[in-house]
Amino acid sequence: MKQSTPFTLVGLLAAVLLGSSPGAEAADVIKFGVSTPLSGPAAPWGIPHKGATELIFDEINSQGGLEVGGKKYKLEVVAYDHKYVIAEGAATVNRLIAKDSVKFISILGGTVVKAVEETVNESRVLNLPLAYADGLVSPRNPYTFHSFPSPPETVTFWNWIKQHHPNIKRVASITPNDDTGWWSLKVETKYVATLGYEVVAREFFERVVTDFNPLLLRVLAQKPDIISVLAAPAGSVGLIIKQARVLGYKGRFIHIGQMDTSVVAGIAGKENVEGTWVHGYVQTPLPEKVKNWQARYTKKHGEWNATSIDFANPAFAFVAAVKKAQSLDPKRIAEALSTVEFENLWGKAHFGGKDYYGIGNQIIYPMPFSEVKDGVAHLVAQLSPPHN
Amino acid sequence: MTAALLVQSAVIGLSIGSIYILMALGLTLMFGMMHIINFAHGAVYMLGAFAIYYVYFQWGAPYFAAFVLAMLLLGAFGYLVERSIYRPIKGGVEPTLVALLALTTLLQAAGYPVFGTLDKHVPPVFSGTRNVLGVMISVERLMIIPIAGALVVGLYLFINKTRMGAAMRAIEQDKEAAALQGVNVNVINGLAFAVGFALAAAAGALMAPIFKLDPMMGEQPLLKAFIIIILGGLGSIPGAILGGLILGLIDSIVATALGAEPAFLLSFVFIILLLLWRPTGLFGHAL
Amino acid sequence: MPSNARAATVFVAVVALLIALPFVGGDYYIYLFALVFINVILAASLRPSLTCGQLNIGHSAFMCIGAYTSALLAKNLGVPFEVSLLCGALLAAVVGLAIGYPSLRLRGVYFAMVTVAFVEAIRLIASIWVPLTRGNAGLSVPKPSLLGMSLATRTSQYYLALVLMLIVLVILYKLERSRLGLVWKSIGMAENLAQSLGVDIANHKLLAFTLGCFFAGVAGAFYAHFIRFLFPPEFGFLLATNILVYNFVGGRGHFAGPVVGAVFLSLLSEPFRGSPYETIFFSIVMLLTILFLPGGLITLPGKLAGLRRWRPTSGTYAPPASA
Repeated sequence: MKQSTPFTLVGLLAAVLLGSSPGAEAADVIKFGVSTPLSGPAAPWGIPHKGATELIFDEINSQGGLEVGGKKYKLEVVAYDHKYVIAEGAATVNRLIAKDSVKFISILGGTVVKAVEETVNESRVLNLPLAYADGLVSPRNPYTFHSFPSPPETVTFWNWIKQHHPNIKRVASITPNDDTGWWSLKVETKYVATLGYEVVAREFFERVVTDFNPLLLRVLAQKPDIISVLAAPAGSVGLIIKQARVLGYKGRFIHIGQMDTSVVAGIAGKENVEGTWVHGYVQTPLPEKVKNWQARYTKKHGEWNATSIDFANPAFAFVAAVKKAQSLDPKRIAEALSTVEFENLWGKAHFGGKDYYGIGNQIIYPMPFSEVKDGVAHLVAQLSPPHN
Repeated sequence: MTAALLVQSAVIGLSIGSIYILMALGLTLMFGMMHIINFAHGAVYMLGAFAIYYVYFQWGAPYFAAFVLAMLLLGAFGYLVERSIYRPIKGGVEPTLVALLALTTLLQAAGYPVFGTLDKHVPPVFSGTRNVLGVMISVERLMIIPIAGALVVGLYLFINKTRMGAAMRAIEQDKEAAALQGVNVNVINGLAFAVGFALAAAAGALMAPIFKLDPMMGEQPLLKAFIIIILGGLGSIPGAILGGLILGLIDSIVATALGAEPAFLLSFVFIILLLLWRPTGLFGHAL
Repeated sequence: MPSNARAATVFVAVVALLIALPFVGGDYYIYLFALVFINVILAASLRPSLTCGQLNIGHSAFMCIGAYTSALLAKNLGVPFEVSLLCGALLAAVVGLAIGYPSLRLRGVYFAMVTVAFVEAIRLIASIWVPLTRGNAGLSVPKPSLLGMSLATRTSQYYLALVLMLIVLVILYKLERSRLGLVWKSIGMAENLAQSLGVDIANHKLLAFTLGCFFAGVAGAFYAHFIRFLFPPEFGFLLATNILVYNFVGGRGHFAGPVVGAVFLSLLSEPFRGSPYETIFFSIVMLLTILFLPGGLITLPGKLAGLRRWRPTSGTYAPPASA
């Protein structure tokens, strides 16, 4: 038995190596890699990310494909599950680039995207991520085009609040204790301070926490008028709202990032969520174009997910840029992305923000903001970012 | 930190502590009987919560009926786990531990496709709030104390006043001697699994309306329960109660003063130091 | 053929295959196998401690210490990789000694729980000590270098990992085959008996534990410069239990057990990358192995051979015994 052990190893190795020969590549297929959480706690983001991309590609394929330089190409999504774990994220991105020879990818998740920043740059693949991460949009990352509005864009909603609700003065901020949370808090509190708000509390929590009472005791002692929960996941926000209301907090909540408000309303109770402001995740009234998208998405995937509206951006941007560049060279497509104007589900979109980031690689479009009324997110305004 | 804030956080701490105790009870019972740490306790807690989600919220059964059903179902599951995992391994502590870890991973991973990926909720069973020493506490949280108390008393009566309880105590003291006296060790071990799992399910069923539901929801309570039973001494029920209250207070007061992470770190450092000082915890007996 | 010679032949064949891999396999397999090598070091580093009968669930903490020490020395002070790796491993060993010494009097599950508590404590320190570690923002780490040359390519990093793994495995194998290894085994099998024979239990256990911490630190240091991004939540309970599971699934009866376990489980998820059912499959395999192969995967060929030769005709058949 002792001697057969190493043979097991050899067998395993051989099996893997045999499986490693790259399959014959169909010449008329454009592969688009998606590295996203498909299982685990972050899957509610990853599944619509993959689903929206597949829907857009399928619709183009059913019309014969995407024409580049006079030739029709089929679009194909190669999606891997990174479970929101760094090592898995690095492995999936390496697999996409080195094994599947993918030239265009979209990665979801702040920490994952930061961990593979250099791999992406060195391999010169085009990345259209969905992630809040400090320094992601930067001249250091010329091939990264961030396809989701970040806090520097969505803070614009505070101008609307100042105009429509002048009685709100004291702001408290509660965010997850990681890069995403820190950056969001830094950007938002700095912006509201310039608008004349007083930031009375800055708190961080571990993503696994469910009992927010100790933290809320600290925050509520500062008597805030509004509590920002930017970058917190919907489940945590539901618990924060529920527990803050029990402790007697009467003010509003605001989350200027993506959040599923139906989950929040379920956990916290409809009456407790009333008046909460949120970016994206609009449920009603839906513009015709979004309604149409909802019907198509539900037909293809069975289950509607409003997160898919904004997570469709990478696919829209990619298709528009390939059409404009008429090339499959990532460099040419990147050049096209810097200048192309395209339609997403909320209107005209382009990549900009050079004044803020030093490079024009941030998606800019009229962003939707909603207010929760009777547990449902109602669209209140579509606003452009402070920078263009 | 003002005196008022200190009192408030202490009250919150006791309410958190009573939740922890509930989680630690079944864990410490199973350790006392079989000297195994039930790593699957958190996963069973999760299943108990989802049982309430379906039976009470989705299918509309009365809450207490759903609660009892959750305990029975997962008690039966515990018996099954004893039969199919613990018994074939023949009581090896380490392989059992790894098998229970594998079971946990399986239940959690299967939870996403089965229950869905979005966080779930169960509407509150008790509504309203009460002012306790200057801090508002929801009635649903206050109700944990009598229910946890009832479970502790029930467990005490079961162990001390029934034949099966006597057999369990006999095994806890000396397995071979108990077997010679005609105690069917296999059946009683199965029973210990059933009771332990049912208690985890009760904790989950009680927490479901208070917190949120997701397949990973048992991880944090499990880590907390580990700390508590080490603090109190493995196998000791009074130890678990004292440990739960101590940890609840640490978690709340330190977290209010310094933040949640330092509180968590402190609890781990505290038990490392405690174990080095008293290798069997506050109430534990030597192995 | 004597089993030792045969094992040596196979070992040489495997190493030759691994050396050849960069010429045969694609870039991705180089990357994947470097990760597998890290897991092999981690799994093997736990073995001395397990052999002594310690239920150790603490190795992600020592990996974490090795990783952060090496990363910070290289990043902030420009210390060359070979030095920073050694410092990381040494610090892991020193901390291991400090925690291992007072834990010696703890038995069984209490020991296991202290190691679990230690994993959580180290993870939390890494996440709270923001000025040093950047906490949960994550720490980016420079590439490894050797003798002043930066190992920029995946291939060079792969060979570095291979060499590290081989060195660690050879050292651990020699130790296990020495008198020291026998003492460890005797402590693990019958601690009281060993004690009555005059074996210094405490010091031997402590040595096994500390050595394991050192090699976990080596794995951590290489991991830091290979993945190049450290994030405290990843060094938690889950990773610690994975390292334990490698040993159990591979088999504890043989030196190659943890190696087989780590290789098998690390590669198992590969075909399922795109599937949300990856973890489900993984845990079912884990459970089945524990239930039906109590000796681990390493006993599988023996069992299969046993099935095939159940008729007592073959003289070469020896019943599988835990070596």
